[in-house]
Amino acid sequence: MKGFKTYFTFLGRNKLFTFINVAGLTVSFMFILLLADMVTRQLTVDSHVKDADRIYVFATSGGVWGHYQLGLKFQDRYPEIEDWCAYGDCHQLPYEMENGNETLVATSFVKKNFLEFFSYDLIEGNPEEALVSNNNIVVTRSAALKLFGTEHVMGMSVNTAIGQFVVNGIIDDIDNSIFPSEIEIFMPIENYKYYNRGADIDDTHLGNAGSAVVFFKMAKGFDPATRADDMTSFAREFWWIFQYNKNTKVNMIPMRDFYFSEIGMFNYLNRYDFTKVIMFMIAGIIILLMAVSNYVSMSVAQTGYRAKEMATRRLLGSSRGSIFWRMIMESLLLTVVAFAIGLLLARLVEPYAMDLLGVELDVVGDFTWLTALCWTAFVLLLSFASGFVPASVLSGYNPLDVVKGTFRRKTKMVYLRVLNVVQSGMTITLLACSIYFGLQIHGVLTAPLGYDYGDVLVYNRTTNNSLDAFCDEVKKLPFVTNVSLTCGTPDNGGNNNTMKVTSGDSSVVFSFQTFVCDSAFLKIFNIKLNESRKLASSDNAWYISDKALADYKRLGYGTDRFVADGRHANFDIAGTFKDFKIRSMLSKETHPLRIQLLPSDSIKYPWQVLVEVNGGDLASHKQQIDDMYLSMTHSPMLVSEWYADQVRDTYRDVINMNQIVFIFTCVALLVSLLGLIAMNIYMISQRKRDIAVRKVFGSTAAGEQRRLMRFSLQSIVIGLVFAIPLSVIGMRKIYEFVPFGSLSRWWVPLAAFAIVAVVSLVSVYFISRNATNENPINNIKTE
Amino acid sequence: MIKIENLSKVFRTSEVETIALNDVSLEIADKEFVSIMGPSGCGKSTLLNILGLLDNPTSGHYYLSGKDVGGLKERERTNVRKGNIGFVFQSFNLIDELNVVENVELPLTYLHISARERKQRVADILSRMGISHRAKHYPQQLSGGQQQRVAIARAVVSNPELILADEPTGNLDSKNGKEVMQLLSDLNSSGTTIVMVTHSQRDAGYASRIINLFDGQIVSSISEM
Repeated sequence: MKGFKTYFTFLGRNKLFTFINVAGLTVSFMFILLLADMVTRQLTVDSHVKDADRIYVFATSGGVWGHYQLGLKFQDRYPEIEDWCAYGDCHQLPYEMENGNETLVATSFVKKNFLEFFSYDLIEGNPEEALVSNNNIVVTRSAALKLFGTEHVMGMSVNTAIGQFVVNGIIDDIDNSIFPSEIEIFMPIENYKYYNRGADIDDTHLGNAGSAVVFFKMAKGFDPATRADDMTSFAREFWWIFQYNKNTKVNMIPMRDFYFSEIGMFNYLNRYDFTKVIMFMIAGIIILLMAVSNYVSMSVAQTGYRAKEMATRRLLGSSRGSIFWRMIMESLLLTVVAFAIGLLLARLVEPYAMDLLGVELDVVGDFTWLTALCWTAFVLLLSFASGFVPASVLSGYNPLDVVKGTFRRKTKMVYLRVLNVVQSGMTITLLACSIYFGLQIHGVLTAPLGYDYGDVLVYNRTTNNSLDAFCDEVKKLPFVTNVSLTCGTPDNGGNNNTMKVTSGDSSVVFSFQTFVCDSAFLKIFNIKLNESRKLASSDNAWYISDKALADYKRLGYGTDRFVADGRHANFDIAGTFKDFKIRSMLSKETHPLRIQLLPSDSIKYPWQVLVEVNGGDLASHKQQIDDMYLSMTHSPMLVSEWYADQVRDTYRDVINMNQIVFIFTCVALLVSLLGLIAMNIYMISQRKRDIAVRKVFGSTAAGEQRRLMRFSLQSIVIGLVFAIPLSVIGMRKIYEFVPFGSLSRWWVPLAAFAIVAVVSLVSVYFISRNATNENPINNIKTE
Repeated sequence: MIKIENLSKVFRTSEVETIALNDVSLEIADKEFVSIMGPSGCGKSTLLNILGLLDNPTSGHYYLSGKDVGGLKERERTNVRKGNIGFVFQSFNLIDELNVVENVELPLTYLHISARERKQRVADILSRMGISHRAKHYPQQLSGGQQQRVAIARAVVSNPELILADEPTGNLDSKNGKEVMQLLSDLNSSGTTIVMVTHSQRDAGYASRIINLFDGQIVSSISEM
């Protein structure tokens, strides 16, 4: 370190240079570390699973369907199936611990061979015995601590609504897998029927066709695609989903491909969009390149300050090579410091990044010898790449310069100018996209839905018991204003009823989204009836939306009764209501809707209970109603959420993407600004004498500042020229992603330009202030 | 034209205090050619900087054409300097990115003179300096002598009353040095006041008066007989 004394002195004297270089590289490293961990994880999901290349997820052409019986039947039929496994969904179930307290634990129902099938090792317990009995459970390390306060919980028991369970295996927390990391307990799938009747493993009708995901391990060399037709014919023999839709075909998806597939499914398994992975990789590389460019620019900009030292070293006997390597070592030192701080920062922002990217991350935990080696090589390479240009420039100084006293060396500004133009253009583009994205999201979230809502809690029905007692009790709470039983909400779109209506000589498909509810539903969502014929509530009287009525009248029918083909298809039109938007604002079409209003006690199988509360401490209200729901309905689990959160969840993908674009924009703006600062420091250091000469001959400090700002503005204007087409392309892509509002917001790139220009000009103003205010004789004397 | 009274200039750092000029009084008449001589560090350039309104004295008075300009602010100094004082430096101080015409034109742009007049005045002065044939060349394409001619052209293009020259021949060979001194002498003959700092006894001989400085004080002021 002693050999770096002059370097440390230089860094100490040039604090802005040091700060900008370290800050730029640090922020870039933070991003690179997070993105590299994210990308590596995405590409190594379930890499621990043995024979994963022989495991297939059962799916049809329409999505991932499955039932325990499916596995049994297929294994009997196809000898190529070596083994199979079934995974039920993950549910929050209440567990009673020894102290009598109850807590919700994420429980997944799995076939008893699950751990062996997916190569999960037990921390404690005998793999041969784990989950063997129906009342066994295997817990994760976190669940053990959560339930019992210790990791050593073998043989301990917990009580649930369906009986007592004994822990006979402990595994590490699930990580980097298609199986959710939230899972805390694995329970034999034999118990699933107590929570989901259609998932009964003995149900030979495979009633709940989406109750499980079935995995098949095929014999070596067997490709199930070659037998897909036969499998389809076989499935059609016993499974209703193949019988109802003749187009349904078996589509086995290799487990390795499943993570990046987009096929629809009913159970939650982790998946990711491969395009996003590529996008983040590219973003990471761009940010890194910008940071390296800045480092090079800054270092070249500062060469003038170190030229004397290097020329003197050469005069005193140092070789060109030793100076070159000295500079590379200095670059390495700075890069290592930036890497270390970047690692700390990455660790700090990891939770936020996980939420934003929708993936698990563990930057430090994922370090292995191999990754450490890769990072070391990366840092070395980066140090060399960053240090090469300044090292070449400085080692090229002639010792004669010391004798002559001529250290000033002018290099072309073209490189910095081009860099600045490119960075400005990229920043304007990103900012324009970010602004447009933000406007789109704001538009979506604030657009009139055709209905209103306040603080509404949605309880998904999770029990077969009556909900009447709960409804009666919850209404008595002083902060509850309305309680409704319903089948469907505007956000989930209700049920679909498609029927055929005769029109002339042909029949037309008429598709309703249907809501069966009580009158409180209308109050909670402020849905106004346009017209009510005061028909008695019955299974045969429905209110229909304006759109539905208009479509129906267009077919040549009256307004009293809806007549369609098939049983139960005809009904009386009880009245009409204004159209409202179901599901997402992003779906352009206005769907025909119908609502059946029934007294609460006539809605025998409601999907949801809606509880509207009147402000106040919402968290406390929710806790109180949750407790009441569990105790009064005797439900084995709880699914409750604020309606507003459900609406936001509908747009989670686009909101997250918007935040990611915004963050990248901020980073690009920051890095671009650092580049601009580098260029200006360089330019000013090169032009100090020129500024002095101009001032001697009549120019003023303000005039010189204006000249430098004009120079920067030129770069941004040139950047705008190629930012406009790029912005238009970006905005079109965003519009495809968020098809809402207007595409032609021509002012957005100009607003982005204005922001970048103001930020840049303000920074140039401050950077150049000292140089332009300096007494000109100081810089004329130096020659 | 120039009158300074009890002028001092002190440079202070946190550790040392250097007296560059110590109670200097001096008068320079209109159309006079004065050489300032003395050893390195005696305060020649400091005096020239103050005379050129590039720096303010620490104490004392400086009258330029009868107006006290010793305590002016930066902007006011610039306004007085513009068009009234021309500078010639030892190392020429031409701007590398500008060609000969643009370099010479520079002072005129700050005087907001129209483009047509600027063009005419630059052409005239280049012709007078004998470097019209180099009008489109850049400084690095010129010899030292030619560069100094351009620098002198730049100094006189705005017709200043006063030219300050800091060792104008310091970077030139004897032939070019002689030509430059002849140019300055011609300018003086045509009515321009010239104050020149020099180490050269021969160059000083072109002046009508030689002032010797030592340790920030005037030790002699000898007029040519």
